[in-house]
Formats: sequence, C-alpha cells, structure tokens
Amino acid sequence: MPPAVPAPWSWRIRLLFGWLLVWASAAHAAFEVTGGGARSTGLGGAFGAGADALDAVWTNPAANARGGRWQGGTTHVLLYPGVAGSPSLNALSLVAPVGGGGLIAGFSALGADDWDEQVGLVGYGRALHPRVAVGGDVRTGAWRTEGWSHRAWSADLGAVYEVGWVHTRHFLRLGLVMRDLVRTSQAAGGQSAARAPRALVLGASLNGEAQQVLVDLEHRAGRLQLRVGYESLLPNTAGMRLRFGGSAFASDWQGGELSAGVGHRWREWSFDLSYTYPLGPDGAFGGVHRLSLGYRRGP
Amino acid sequence: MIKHGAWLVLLGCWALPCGAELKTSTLVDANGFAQAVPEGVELRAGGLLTLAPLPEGINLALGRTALDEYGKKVPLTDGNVLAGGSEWISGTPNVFGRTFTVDLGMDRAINRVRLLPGGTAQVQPEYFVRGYRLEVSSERQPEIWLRLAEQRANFQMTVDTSQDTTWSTFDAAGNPVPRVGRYVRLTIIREDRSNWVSLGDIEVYGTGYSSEGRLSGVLEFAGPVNIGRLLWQGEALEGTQVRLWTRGREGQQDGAWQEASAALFAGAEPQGGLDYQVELTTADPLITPGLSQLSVEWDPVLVARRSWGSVQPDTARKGEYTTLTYRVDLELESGDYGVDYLQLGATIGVEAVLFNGVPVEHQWRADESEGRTRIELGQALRESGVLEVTGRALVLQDRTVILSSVGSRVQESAAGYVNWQNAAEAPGATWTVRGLGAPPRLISAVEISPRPFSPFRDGQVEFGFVVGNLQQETEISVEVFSLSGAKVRRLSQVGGARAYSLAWDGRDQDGRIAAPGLYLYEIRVDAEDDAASRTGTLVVAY
Repeated sequence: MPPAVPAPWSWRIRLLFGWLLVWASAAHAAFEVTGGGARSTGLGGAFGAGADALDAVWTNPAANARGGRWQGGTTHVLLYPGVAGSPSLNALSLVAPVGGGGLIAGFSALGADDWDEQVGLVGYGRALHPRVAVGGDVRTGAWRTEGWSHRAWSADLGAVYEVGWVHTRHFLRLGLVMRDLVRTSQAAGGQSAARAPRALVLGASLNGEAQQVLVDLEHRAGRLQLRVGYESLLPNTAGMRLRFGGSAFASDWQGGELSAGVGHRWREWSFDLSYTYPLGPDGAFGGVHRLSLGYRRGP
Repeated sequence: MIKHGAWLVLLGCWALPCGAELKTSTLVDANGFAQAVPEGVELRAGGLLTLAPLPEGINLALGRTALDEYGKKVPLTDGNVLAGGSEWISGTPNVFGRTFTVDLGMDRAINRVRLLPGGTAQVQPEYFVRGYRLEVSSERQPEIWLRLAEQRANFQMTVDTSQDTTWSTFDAAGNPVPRVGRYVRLTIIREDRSNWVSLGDIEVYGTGYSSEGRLSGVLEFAGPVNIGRLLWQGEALEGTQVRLWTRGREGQQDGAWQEASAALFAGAEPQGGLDYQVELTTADPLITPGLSQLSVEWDPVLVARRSWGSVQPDTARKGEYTTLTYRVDLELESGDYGVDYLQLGATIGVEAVLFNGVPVEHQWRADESEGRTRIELGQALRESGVLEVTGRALVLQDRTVILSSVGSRVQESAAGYVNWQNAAEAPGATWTVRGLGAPPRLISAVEISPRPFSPFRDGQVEFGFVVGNLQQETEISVEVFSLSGAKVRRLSQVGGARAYSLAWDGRDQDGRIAAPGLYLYEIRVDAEDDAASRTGTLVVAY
C-alpha cells in the first residue's frame, strides 16, 4: 500500500495554527468589553457562527455577508453597578447591503470616573460561494486617563461556512474568526508587555424551528475558552425568546461566567436584555446588565 | 611613644563611653544551672534540661472526672474506698455492658490500672466485678478504643493489671508495654444473676514524663544594667514546647511575668536583677523537650540613666486618626551612651520631634506589621530633658499601650544590634490611650494610590485600608480582576486589627505585567464571626 500523501494544504493549516498559538501575552485589559449586544452575551458570547444579526458585527466580519438588508441598533451596558466607580458602556452597530455584500460598522464607548476607552470598526463581508462567505474589518481602539492616552489599530478576518440541513429540522453553520491580527501594543509607551494577543475562534450554530444552540472555542494568550449558548422561543408569548449561556476556560474556572437573557421582536424592532455573572470574583462585584434595541428593515 | 591609633582611642574614650562591652551571664549549660529552683525538670549529663520522669506510684486518675455511659458523674476517682465511703453500686444485677470512662486530662503512657471494690463489695465479696474489659483512647482519636486488658472470669477482690496476664502487649523482658491515651474505659462484661456490683475506685498509673516542669531563678547584677538578648538553645519536638518568662527585679510596675517571645528583654530598664523562669511542656508523655543553654546579655553602660514615657491625650475616637503627643522624660549622666534612637510601640505618622521644646532633626519609619515606629535623631542627646514626638495615630482597641525604648548608635556598632533600653511609664501620667465610641467597621479608610498606576513609573500601587473590630488574627486579602471578571492577582497577609498597606507590582499570577486598562479590586476580611469586603476600580496605564 503506498504511503499516504498529505493534502497540499495541510502544512499551511499547521503553520497557521502554530503562528496563532505561539503568541501568548498578558490578558488584554483595555478593549476587553466592547459593544456586543444583549442577544449574543445572553448566549454566553458564543456567536462566532452567528449570521445575519446585528450582534455579529462585533464577533465575525463575515456573518452579515449575505444579509442583504439594513440593520441598526444601540446597546447600553451597566458593568457591576454595586462597585464604586464602576463603568458604563454605550454602543452603536450598523449593517448595510453594499455591492452584493454586507458593510458593517460599530462604535462603543466605555467610561468610568477617570478612564475612557472607545472602539470603532468598519468591515465588509461577501459571499464567495453559496456556502462560503468571508469578511474582514479594521478596528481602532483608544483609551485615555489622567496624563496618558493611546490609540491602537488592529484587524480581524472571518469566514462562515453553511454546512446546510443536517437533519430535516436542523441547519448547521460554522464560523472561523481570527482576531487582533496586527498585535499592536495597547501601551502609550509602546511596551511589548501590552501587545494584544491574537485569537482564533471556531464557532458552530445549530438552528431548529424554535431553538438554537451555539458553541464557540477560542484560543487566546495560550488559553482555551469554551462558550456555549442556548436560545428557545417561548410558546404563547408572541415571539419572546429565552436565552442561557456560559463560558469557561479549559484550564480552570477563573474568568468563566454564566449568562441569561430575554429578547422580543415586534415588526422591524427588536428588544433584548441580558445579565452576565462572572464566576471568578465569588459574587463580590455582582454582574453586568445589557440592554439592546435594534431595527431591521424587512422581515 | 603613643601611636596615632592609640590617640584616637583615647580621644574616643573622652568623647564617648569607653570600656563598654556587652557581658553575658549563662544561666543553664553543661555546668548546671545557677541559683535556680527546678520543679518537674532534671538536668541530664551533658547539660540538657528536660522534663523529669513521672514518679512511680502516682494515681493519675485521682481527682479526675469519671462518667458512666449516660454521662453521669460517678465517684470512682475520689480515692475514697473505705467501707461506708463513696462507691458506685448498680442497684440491679443487670450490669452487663455498663461502662465507666475516666478522663486523665491529657495523654498519658498508661502501664497499670487497678479496680478497687466499693464498701459493699468489701463486706460482700460476691458484689465485685466478675468480668471486665479495660480500654484506652487518645486525645487525638478519642473514638478509637484500644484494649488494655480483658478478664472474663475474675475472682480477685482487687483487679490489678500488673498481676493480670491479659494485658495487651508485653516487651521482650515480659514487662507491660504502656499504651498512650487520655481516656480509660471500664466495661463490665459479665454479671452475676443474683448480685449487684459495687465499685470503689479506678486507679490509673503511667510512665514517661511529667506533662510540665519549670526552672525558676534569679540573676543579680552588680549595678543597674541594660538587659540585652535572652539567648537559649533547645529542642522542642512536635507536641512539646519550651517557653521563657522573665521579670525585672525592680521598677516593674505590675510585677508581671512577660514571655520572652522576642530576643530582647521586654520589661522596663535599667534593672539590677532579673527573675527568669523556663517552662517545659509536653502533650506526648513519651517525649520531652530539652533546653541545652540559656544565657542573658547585658550592658553595664546605659543609654540613659532613666527614661519615662507618657502620652497625651489619653483618649481617642476608635477608628479615627488622632494627633497624639508622646513624651519621654530622659535622665542622662556623663557615662551614658546618649540617645540616638527612640522606638514607640505604635504606628505613628510623625509630624514633629522636639527636645526641650526645640525641633530636632530626625528620620522616622513606621512598621505596620510590627506595630512600631522608629525615630532616628540627627544628633545624639547627651543631657537630661524632655523629648516630645507629635504625630497621628489610629486607635482601634479599647486600650492601646504605647511602650517606648531608647537606643544608641555607639552601642549598636559595638554589639551589632540595638539593645533597646525600655522606658517605664511616667509616674502620675499614662502611656495608655483609651479608645472611645463604637467599634470601628471591619474595613474602612480604603485608599488606592497612585491612580492611575504605572508599573514602569511607580513600581507598585498601594492598597491602604484599616481593619478594625477584629478580635483575633485572620487572613486579609486583596484580589485584582479584569473587567471581564478574570482574576489577575491575589495578595494576602495575616494580621489583626490595624492599618494595612498591601502593594501590587502590576504583575499577574504568571509574572506578566498587566496591560493598561480599568481593573476591579476586592479587599476581603474573613474573620470567624464576621466577614466584610470592599470593592472598587483601579487604573493601570503606561
């Protein structure tokens, strides 16, 4: 029997993974909380394979590549309201059909007593094949405090693969995102200690008639994080949806969190609420509240 | 011809006390112990002081508590076995399985147990125990009973395990091997159909060492001296302890013994003599601690002839910083070293130091963990006068005693350490500050500085806070989290009620410098009867 010949692309995949895994650095504190909406956070942040959704502006630049309709919305976040000097965050998200693809834009501003940070992104996604769509975005983040300020640039790449109907009632979609490709330093002095770590996200979403299950696996700074979300349409509630989610690191429970949320859609308008509870601090800080309001032209 | 070096020595002797050197008095060593009274200890060949062996024939159960299986006290350890005296009598022939437990108070190496008949059994021998089981359990594992002896058919009027071949273990020479235990249990395992049972006493005998012993003595000096380090060498295995207590022979206002937990003598100085007491204890009857040497260093040259400390005001609101003035009255003579250092037994933020009303150049350092403030004067004080220190202090307790000591650079350079000369409380005044008001909150006065914090510019950020109303030492922790709730670093310290300052160097648990950003922190105190936490944010920027 002749020896197996490796597929010609296999070494490229290995090289890509190796390149992504080599760069481990400290946790990125600035820009850690951005404008992701209440729907995706209610699902534990597992939205790497989310598609045709306003929340996906912040999670996968290819997710809205075949949307074909205008969407816009705002998100308002209250982080740990019981903590003295806790910050709040406000965000805008936009999806526009342009040139057969989807143009995405987002802006979020986080503010505390003496700390401000802003993140803006612009991206574009386009379907290359009935099953495959790709996209990319450029994002800029700036922070400012007393006597210090800094702006950093970065870029993300994303892809979505529509696996299709894996069962008569269940549709499977996969997503791949490479985030923070540029790894610029977040430090005003350019210290290498503050380089944002790259991240690789593999996502999957299984959609049923009234239910959806999402799973993300993210590798960042040498740590593997699993995120899981579940959404269900509540019967006899005129379209109310209930969501649960959670995340955990493979090595320990530090940094894990639990989420819950509700959402409702009325004609072109959507209204979502979520609550996220971090497991690390043993309840000392409380949780994070998110409220999102969205508009979507068309059905 | 006098060489230059000798001139320098003569010049030094004119300017500074000369001929001064630290003396050492040895109290216990291989040659014995000086003027000391042993009690429960013995000095072995080679100079090792140990606990004395337990005297033979001592009934360890005498006066201890004996209970039946219902927890009711029974008169089986009072030593009274005379006819007509105290006894336990069953009142029924149904005695099978009845138990009696004697608590010896601590683990003992038991090698013999005796059961004596009560007065009724002495008159009617058929009323004595027909069958018995004797067991022992230790303080550490009281639920595990080990058999000492068991006799199913007893016809002796007095049970004596030294005559009983059923003792559990014997050595090669045929002697009973002692069992270590605190609780001795008697179980009646045979009953007579028609007779009650009458018991007089349970006696327990042991071997090994006495549980405690002490050596007390006196050290007289030729004149008033500044007592230095108390040095001792010994061996204390797990479960044993060697403790040293001292008391000055004069000027000790309450005459109380003080445990010499630190190396330096803690009482007021100078002293003309010293009472000392070495205490040896063991929780294991087969192990003894040992003390091989005990000596005292002392300096015939004083820092000052006398010093007295007092504080004003003598009251303060609990949990609030209060400005205090600490006064040290100094009496110096020409032969004294002079005062270069002042140490106060409280943490005080020093604002001014005056000598006879004139400001004195100084440097100070407060040690929160030790609860002390050390002040170094720019120039030595060589004349009598009043040294006053003004500063802010935090009072948390009902009573805060602020002791004081004076020290000398000359003495320090000669001996290699500062032999603090402890002050006495000033007559007619007090060095105790009474705390007024309600107990302070468990955590208060939280200050995080600097903000923003740069690990590269500032080095570290200080978490300052006050822990009050804490009755005993516990773990005090500060945890730093990222905004997403991931733990970045944990800092902790064990301590009591006082001001704390925990420093974070900006590194995470893996030693990497944390990225710029907004972080969360939690300060936590977990006391046995109370818990509290304070949360907030801090900024890292660089």
